Amino acid sequence: MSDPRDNVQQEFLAEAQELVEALSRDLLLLDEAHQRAERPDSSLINEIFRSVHTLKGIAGMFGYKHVGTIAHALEDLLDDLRLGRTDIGDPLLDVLFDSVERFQRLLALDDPQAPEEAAGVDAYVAAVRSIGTQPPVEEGDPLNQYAIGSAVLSVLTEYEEHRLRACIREGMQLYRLRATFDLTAIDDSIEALRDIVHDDAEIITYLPSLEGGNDESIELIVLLASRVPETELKAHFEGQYGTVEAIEEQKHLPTVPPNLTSIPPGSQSLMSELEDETGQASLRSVANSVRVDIRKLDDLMNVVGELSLVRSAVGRAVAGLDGDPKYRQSLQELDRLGRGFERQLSELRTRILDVRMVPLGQVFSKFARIVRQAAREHDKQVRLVVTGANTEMDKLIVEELADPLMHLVRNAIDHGIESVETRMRLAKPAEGTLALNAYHKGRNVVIEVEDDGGGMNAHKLREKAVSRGLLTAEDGQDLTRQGMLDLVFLPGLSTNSEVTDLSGRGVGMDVVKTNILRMGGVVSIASEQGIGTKITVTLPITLAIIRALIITVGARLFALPISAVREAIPFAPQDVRTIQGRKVITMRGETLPICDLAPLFGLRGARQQASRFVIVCEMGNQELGFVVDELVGQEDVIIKSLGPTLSSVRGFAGASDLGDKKLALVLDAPALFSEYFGGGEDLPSVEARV
Amino acid sequence: MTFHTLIVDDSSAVRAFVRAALENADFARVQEAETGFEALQLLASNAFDVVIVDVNMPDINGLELLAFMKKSPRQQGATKILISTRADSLDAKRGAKLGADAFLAKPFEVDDLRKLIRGLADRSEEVSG
Amino acid sequence: MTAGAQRATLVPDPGSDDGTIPVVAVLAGSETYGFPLSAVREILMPPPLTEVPRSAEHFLGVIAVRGQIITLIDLPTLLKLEVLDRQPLGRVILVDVGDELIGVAVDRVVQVSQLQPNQIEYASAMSADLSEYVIGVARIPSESSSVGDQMVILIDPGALLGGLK
Repeated sequence: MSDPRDNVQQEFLAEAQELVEALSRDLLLLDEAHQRAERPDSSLINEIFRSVHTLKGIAGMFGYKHVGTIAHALEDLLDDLRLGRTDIGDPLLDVLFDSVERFQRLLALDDPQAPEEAAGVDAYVAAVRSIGTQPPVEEGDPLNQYAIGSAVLSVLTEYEEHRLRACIREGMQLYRLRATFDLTAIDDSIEALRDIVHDDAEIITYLPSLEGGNDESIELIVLLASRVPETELKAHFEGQYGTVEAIEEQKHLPTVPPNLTSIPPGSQSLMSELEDETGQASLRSVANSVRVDIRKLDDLMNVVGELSLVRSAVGRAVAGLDGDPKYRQSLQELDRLGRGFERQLSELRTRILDVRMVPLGQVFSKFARIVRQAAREHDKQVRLVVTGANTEMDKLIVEELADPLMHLVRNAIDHGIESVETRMRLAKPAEGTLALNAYHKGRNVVIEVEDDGGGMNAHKLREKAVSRGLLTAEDGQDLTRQGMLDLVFLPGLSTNSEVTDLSGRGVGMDVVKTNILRMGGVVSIASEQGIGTKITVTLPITLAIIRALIITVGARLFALPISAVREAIPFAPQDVRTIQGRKVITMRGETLPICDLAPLFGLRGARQQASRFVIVCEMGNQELGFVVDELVGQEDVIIKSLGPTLSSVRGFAGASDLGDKKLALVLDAPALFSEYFGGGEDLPSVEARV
Repeated sequence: MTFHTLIVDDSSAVRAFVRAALENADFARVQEAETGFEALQLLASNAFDVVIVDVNMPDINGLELLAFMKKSPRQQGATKILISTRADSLDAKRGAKLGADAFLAKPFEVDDLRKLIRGLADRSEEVSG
Repeated sequence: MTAGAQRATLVPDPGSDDGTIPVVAVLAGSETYGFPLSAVREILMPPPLTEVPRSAEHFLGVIAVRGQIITLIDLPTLLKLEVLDRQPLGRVILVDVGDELIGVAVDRVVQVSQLQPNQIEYASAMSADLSEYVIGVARIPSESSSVGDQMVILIDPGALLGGLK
């Protein structure tokens, strides 16, 4: 019999990942509250406990031994925390934050039982267990003060009992709310009840009762604790839900200690005042979502594409019947239906693409933890401000963005923001600010990483580039200030010893730039010494569907994504000059290098040279004009991969079905730019190979 | 015999695991509930041979479900298994008092679960047969 | 693939009672090639072909099949065999090479043969100069008496994926 675990492994990894992410988010909220010296929210602590508890359970069942060991130690610690046997403090928080990275690393291992990890795991567990706990102060069991009844007490879990005692100690009154719920709609009803109760009371537990129910409905006794007077509670619930009865006290309650106030859950904001209101929602948006495999979305898009082709074929068949007056009305009807169908298909396509969109907040939320850690490592104070966390982008791009953005964030903290003493000497606020901004701009999304640190010294950059041999002294003289700043993107400028990163990989600004270019985006830098640095990343909203310029070269169709195109001008071959072996033309007084695609692709260009065009493209601050035969038009195209075998052919990002089985190869502008500017040996001989 | 089984656990991985473990070779027909509420819905309209409940669930916890089943005529005959991560805990002791037939500590193996169910089924047959 | 590397062997279809291996024999250029039936997904009328500039010679281009972009290759060119009298593209065979589907351009499909394992002559280390895409050769008795037995060059679909760069 096959091991059932094999099929279910994916299920485990997905759930484990979600649990660790939830843990990470909740820890940040906990930390925030602690920094503000607020009493922690008991339901938040319980949520954290539950995440770790569930993780421990499933890790054990699926053979992830180390994950289970760590989760077990944490579970004990968190249980002590939620039962009041220990308090929140910096050592405890540090140990909890540490666990998130460990979990992620251990979950990513090929061998979940890797013996070489054991030492590290044991050391960490020892650290966890060293967080001290003290037994609670014995005060006499408050439960004795209430006529709760052993039937109820016997079905409470230890934690629920603890919450009950805590509520009593805080001076809350206990009530029983008896209500009958329709079984089919029970989830919504409970949700509604929770919303109403939210501010007034804490629900201890729900007890299903056998009285008053039948096959379609059930009576629940909701045990709750509340500060609100009984009359008010009754007014709220009775009639709508059922009866409210107070549980009788047998004695006077102890008075409420003045500094114990409970924080209503969900009211903390992780980021500062500049945050969108909906920012909070994007961090905790797991509840209403469904995990989707992106390949399924691609398959759906294929089906839509095929439907589109069927629609076109039907249109053509209908056109064929045009002559006969007998059918005229039917044909008009068919035409109308066809257009309606077209609209629906377009709508479907848009909606499927929309499913791929995820909010950038997904990536941003990870950075809060990194900022905190990096700041502590360097003994600096950094405040992270995020705007536009709910700006949405294609899921694949968002995932690819995580690494480059993380590098930029770490750079800003490691090298950008100064130490506290330096900042105070410069009359800057002791706390540095790191801002992550995201917004839509046309068909792009712009992401900015901005710090108010020391900025970059353009001249020093130039000196370094020259001394490393990346630039000759003369060329260095010609550079504008911006040109000098752009040197930071040159490979070899930042050495490994200067670049700090989490996982030991050498990552430099050049890699960031390459990654961004690969995604079809651009990155630029602005900096003022003493004031700060801003890195701007511009990316297409989705790689899936892109507006492209359709052109022909040598009677073949190609598509060029519009994001790279600045303009198209007629090609005047008589204006072509050759400078240092490269063909250029003059456009509005500036020299524009040109690349004739026909000879580059080994195709025969159009006979009449005069009727050709130059597509002027821009990547970062480089410009290149591609000479093509015809401009066919603009279209929204879905770029499909050429497959592993052909993907090594240079210059193509994929192919796109234009309908009518016409395929256009999609040009990879960044690759063509690299090819042209990158190395002379890649250039074909500029004389046309006709 | 194929055991009509209900697994109540808020972890989707655990539910998938139990389903995979039991549905092989027609050992059981498995239905899932993610919350105590869902379990109540299913318990109202089905008679299960085996009910596996995680003790630690938000809102309606496993103990409450056990208490409910004990009093419900339809579910009284079912074999009730309580899952938890701590074998010696207060929660487990309470579960025993509430009529749980067996207790299974997480993590458990596929075979443990099957043996447990078969063992309990045999015992209940002896009693009634 | 180095000269001494293991070549794939054809495995009998687990469903067959007699241990025979079904093979699709196709004509391309002047040779007959065989693909294990288990790897052949579909046989199509040739769809419109889009050439890919600057790709190696054995790539004829790409085609669109139900929304998927599929690479089309030419076997004689791939195997560096000379073809004197090229016929127009007759059919496309879609072959599952593991990671993707690859289209093979053929003149026509000859037949599907059930090969006995003893009919297959595996390429040995001696014939290291034989292309890495070839498993071996087989002799298929022809269906008509006027034509002699056919020599079928058996292609390894898995090798098509690795070696095509």
